[in-house]
Amino acid sequence: MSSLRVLGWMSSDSEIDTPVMGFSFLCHVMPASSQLHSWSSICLEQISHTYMGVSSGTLPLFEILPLETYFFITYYLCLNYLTLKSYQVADLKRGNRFTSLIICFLYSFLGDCLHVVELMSVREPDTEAYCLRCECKYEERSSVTIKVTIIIYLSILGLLLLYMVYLTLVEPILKRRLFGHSQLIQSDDDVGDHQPFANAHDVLARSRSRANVLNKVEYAQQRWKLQVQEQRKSVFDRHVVLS
Amino acid sequence: MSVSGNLMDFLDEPFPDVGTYEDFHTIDWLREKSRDTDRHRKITSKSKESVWEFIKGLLDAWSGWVVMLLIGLLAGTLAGVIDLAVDWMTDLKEGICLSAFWYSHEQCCWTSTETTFEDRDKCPLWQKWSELLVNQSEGASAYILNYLLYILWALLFAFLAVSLVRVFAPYACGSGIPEIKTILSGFIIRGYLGKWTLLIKTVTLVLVVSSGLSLGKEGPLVHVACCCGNFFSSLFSKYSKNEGKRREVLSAAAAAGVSVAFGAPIGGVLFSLEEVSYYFPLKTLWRSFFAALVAAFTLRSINPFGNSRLVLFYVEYHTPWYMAELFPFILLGVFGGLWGTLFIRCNIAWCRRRKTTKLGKYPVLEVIVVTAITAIIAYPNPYTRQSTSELISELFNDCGALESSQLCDYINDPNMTRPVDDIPDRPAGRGVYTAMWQLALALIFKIVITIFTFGMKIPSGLFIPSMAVGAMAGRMVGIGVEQLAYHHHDWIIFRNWCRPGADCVTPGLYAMVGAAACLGGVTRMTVSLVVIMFELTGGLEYIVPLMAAAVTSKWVADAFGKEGIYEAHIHLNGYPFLDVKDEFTHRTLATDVMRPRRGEPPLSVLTQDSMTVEDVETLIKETDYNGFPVVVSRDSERLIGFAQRRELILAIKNARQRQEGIVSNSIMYFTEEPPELPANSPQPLKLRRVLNLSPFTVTDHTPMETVVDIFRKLGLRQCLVTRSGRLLGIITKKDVLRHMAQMANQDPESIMFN
Repeated sequence: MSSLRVLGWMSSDSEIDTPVMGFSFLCHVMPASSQLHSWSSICLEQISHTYMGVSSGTLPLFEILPLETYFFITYYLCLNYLTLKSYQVADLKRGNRFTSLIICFLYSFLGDCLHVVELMSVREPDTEAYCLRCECKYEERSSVTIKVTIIIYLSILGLLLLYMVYLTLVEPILKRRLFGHSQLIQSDDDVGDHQPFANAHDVLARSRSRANVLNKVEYAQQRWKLQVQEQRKSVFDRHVVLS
Repeated sequence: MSVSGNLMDFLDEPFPDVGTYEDFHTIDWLREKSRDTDRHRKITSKSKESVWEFIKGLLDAWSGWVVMLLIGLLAGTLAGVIDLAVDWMTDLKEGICLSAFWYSHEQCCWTSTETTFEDRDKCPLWQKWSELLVNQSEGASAYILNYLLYILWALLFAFLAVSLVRVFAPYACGSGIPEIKTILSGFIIRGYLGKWTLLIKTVTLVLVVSSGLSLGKEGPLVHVACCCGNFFSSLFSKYSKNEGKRREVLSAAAAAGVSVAFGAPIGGVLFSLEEVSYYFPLKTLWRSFFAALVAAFTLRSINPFGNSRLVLFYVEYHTPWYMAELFPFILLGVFGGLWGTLFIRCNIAWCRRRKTTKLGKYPVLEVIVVTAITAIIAYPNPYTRQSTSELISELFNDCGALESSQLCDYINDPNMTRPVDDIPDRPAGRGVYTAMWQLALALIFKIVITIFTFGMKIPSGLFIPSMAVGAMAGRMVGIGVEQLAYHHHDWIIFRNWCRPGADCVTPGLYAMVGAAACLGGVTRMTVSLVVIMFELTGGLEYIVPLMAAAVTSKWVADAFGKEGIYEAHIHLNGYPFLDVKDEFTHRTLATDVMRPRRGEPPLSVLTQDSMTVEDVETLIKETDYNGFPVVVSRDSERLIGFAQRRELILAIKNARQRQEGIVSNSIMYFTEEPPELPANSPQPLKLRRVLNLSPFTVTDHTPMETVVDIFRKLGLRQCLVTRSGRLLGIITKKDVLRHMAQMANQDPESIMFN
């Protein structure tokens, strides 16, 4: 389930005469199926005070509320079909684009006190009026993308780590056990070479005869190991490139 | 258009045929260009024959655009994956999301209703490690535990990264831009743009950025995009067989890389034009723009930052700036230039030490030690604890009403009557003072640690650290100017433009200007820097301050040394890169530079028809020159052409295996008709096809200025020196570079009569 988060500001060119200062809307978008009763109170700290002008103004929003409720933070529920359709919020469970609710809560900047948020639902015909005042900023995320990306990345990283452990630790032990002591005597000068892929030369020399797929894969792998060894020599040992 | 063969051919070792180049050699631009013209002419003439040929011709013409599209898609996808993974893994050092472990801190607390205004990211679903392990979130033991786990995670990430680089793809370390510059100028480094390098660079880039080291991902993203370009161009024979055409694709891929790194398509194209590419024809300009645009769209559709922006620090305010503020902007430019010079000198000295002393023998240990130091010092300061991109974003942002960070802790006037988005200048509260000294400490730390971090054996970029240094300095200057303007608004300098109660100074703009100045001081970018910065911010009205700072920083930095960081690393590594920006103004002649000098053995030449196969093989074995001039005979040294060593070797080997009657005593001839030979001599060997009949020649009195210009403009590898038709000597690109270096260090007058 993905969700939208909306940050909004009260526009100052509404029918209000005095400029509305210090109001902000912080809107959350929840899927329509969520329950509305679970809203808890949120305390917000004020930043600045503006209501001198507002209390004498003609804000229709606040006609129904006494002046004291200016000190309270309220929620407004807005339905915003049109705006959200263009953002294609997807609900995997329901499999269709659905309407989301923009829950805007208004907080104000007054005094020093903490404020309590109350939920107030607004009927649909009124919501347009409230939402028109919002200058909203939209953020959108898709949780599926995040999940898929992180899981793919972790699996690739895990595979690489396993391969690295195999190449550096397991393979030399296996080769030593498989070919016994004769190989050790032959490659005496290689014993001092602690780098991975130390035996790439031998395998390359041996496996030129057969031509089936498995041998070709092993041959390609050994060639790759030689290349990496060359690269490692020029970068780490001789410091010729990329110093 | 032909796609390479099936899996079995893919696994086979490529058979080296005539026309491919050896590792660590320079390509022949003229030959590649003429081969491409031949191919194009052949396709055009064949397309008139039948409908199928016509369609093949059309597909060949469109293959360039298809390659650009594919590069843009893959580069955008990889950049999106990297951004999302870095976001998550950076927060993994501090805690984990309990509901879904793949969410980062911000995503976890996204839908939570328990957030407060002050602490928007605190929610019960996200728990720090101390809360998870010992169930405490405050107090000394929780702090120490968080500290310890932060360090451990950082060490783990860095160790994994350097091990992966060491085991799988040693070419994946470093920034990549110096080597790509050299490759685009014609150098061959096999495997540098390979598939394993691509994979390892992507994976380890996420790890190192998440480990909190002071490095960025923009430079490595250019390398990643060029690897994508190399991969896709190998699918089409038009690009895989022609090294010159391939480099056009790589230039466009570099543009796409910068485009996704910064969210700046036009800036990316200009960066590719100015910094990375060597030859940039107009056709490449349009195709680069297409690739950059496709990459930007792909990244936008992945939407890693949730706001349809491509970069974490996109800012969008439009507050005006005033002419009097140009003075602090120019000061920031001077700071940027000075820091750039300091960084380049110190970093090159440290890299040279790493190259020549024992320090270079312990790359893994070096990475671990630097990571440990970075993590230990970075954790206590909140500005270094967070990731550098978030720091820059916070510094760029203007303090609006919704900001609750420490930097925006101003004292608010209860009688204020201003709308939210145009808050006037206010006196600084205690939080701002705390932020100022914390930023100062963070600035010093970042300046020092980046010197040691850039150039380690892990993917490391330096765009983001430079921008962070500049942003911190700029923000501090901006807050200083703002407070000065507030407290002393009656001074002459402030009186005209800053009334009390107005929003005069925007510290965020100072941070942007500082970031541009520092980035310009280090890389010496000019136009591309300004375009990238204003594409980052969306503020066209800030072009003048950005330009002022960028120009000032470039002037100040150029006063101390002409090289940017990438050119300095090219010189450190000794790559054969003939910079187009270097001017050659000395009055030497071609005779002074050509080889053989006086006292050296004479030039090794081949004759037209009087050498045997054995002679030639001995000559090749004894010397290690890359090519041999062919003259008429030893007496009259009139020049016929030039033959490359590699092609001679291959041709002789082929002839010995396939042609009949070729023995060591066979005469080798380069003419059309075989020479007159006695009756029982062995079969002569015709090698006219490996001879380049039009080598470039200059006379011995050609001034070196012209010779350097010819080398640069035509991309030559060697040039023959003649006098009245007789061959005198040869000038190679290495000789030219050595001569230029010599002239830079010595007085030119003393070289004239050598």
